[in-house]
Amino acid sequence: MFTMTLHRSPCLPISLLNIQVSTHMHASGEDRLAQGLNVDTGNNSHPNLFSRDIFDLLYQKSGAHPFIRVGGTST
Amino acid sequence: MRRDRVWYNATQQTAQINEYDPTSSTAKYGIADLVSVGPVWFEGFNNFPGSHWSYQVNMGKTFGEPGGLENALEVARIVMDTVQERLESFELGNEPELMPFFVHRPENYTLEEYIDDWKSYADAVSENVLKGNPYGLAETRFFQGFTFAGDDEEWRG
Repeated sequence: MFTMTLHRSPCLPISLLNIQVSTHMHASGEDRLAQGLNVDTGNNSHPNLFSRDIFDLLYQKSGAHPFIRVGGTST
Repeated sequence: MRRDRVWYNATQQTAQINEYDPTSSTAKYGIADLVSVGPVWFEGFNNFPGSHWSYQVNMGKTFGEPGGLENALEVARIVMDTVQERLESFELGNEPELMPFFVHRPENYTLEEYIDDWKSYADAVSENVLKGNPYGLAETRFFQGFTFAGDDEEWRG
């Protein structure tokens, strides 16, 4: 798990969530994708549409919105 | 190796500040020793509106320190209020058998002591975060635990 350093100097505030994504977590218990990674999520005024598109693609391919675990270094 | 090291600063303008102690065992891996987050950090949860979430409450670095529990509870409360009914669980701490290695617990920290710590944090989150929540989240049966690194025979059982 690697995160980037943000300095206190004025800069675009972004959010990096250290997350683990699973496309299936509910009743089936099946994890087709369980991958730890840091995701640049953006914020309300500057959402990261690239990472959102990736999640939307996972939803389109799997039929389920990715389940997200935020854990580890960032929390 | 990952540890729970987040600290919420309500007046912080930047979403996230990673601080590194160059003498720590994890800095060379790019793992921060302290992750300070401000209110903007939580806006990141809004980027995936269809997703459900599990959030790990810090039970590592700030355990037992003044304000540590209260700060962890504040973070949990903000996360809950952000993702609301899409919150599936709170995880309490991460890879506890490695906590002594990172000086977050004494060297002889045991599984039994971890369970006591886990129960005390679960009780605190239930009472101070989940109790009376307006999102329909269970107030007590809402926790994931025992997220071990898996290399220690004594902890694996």
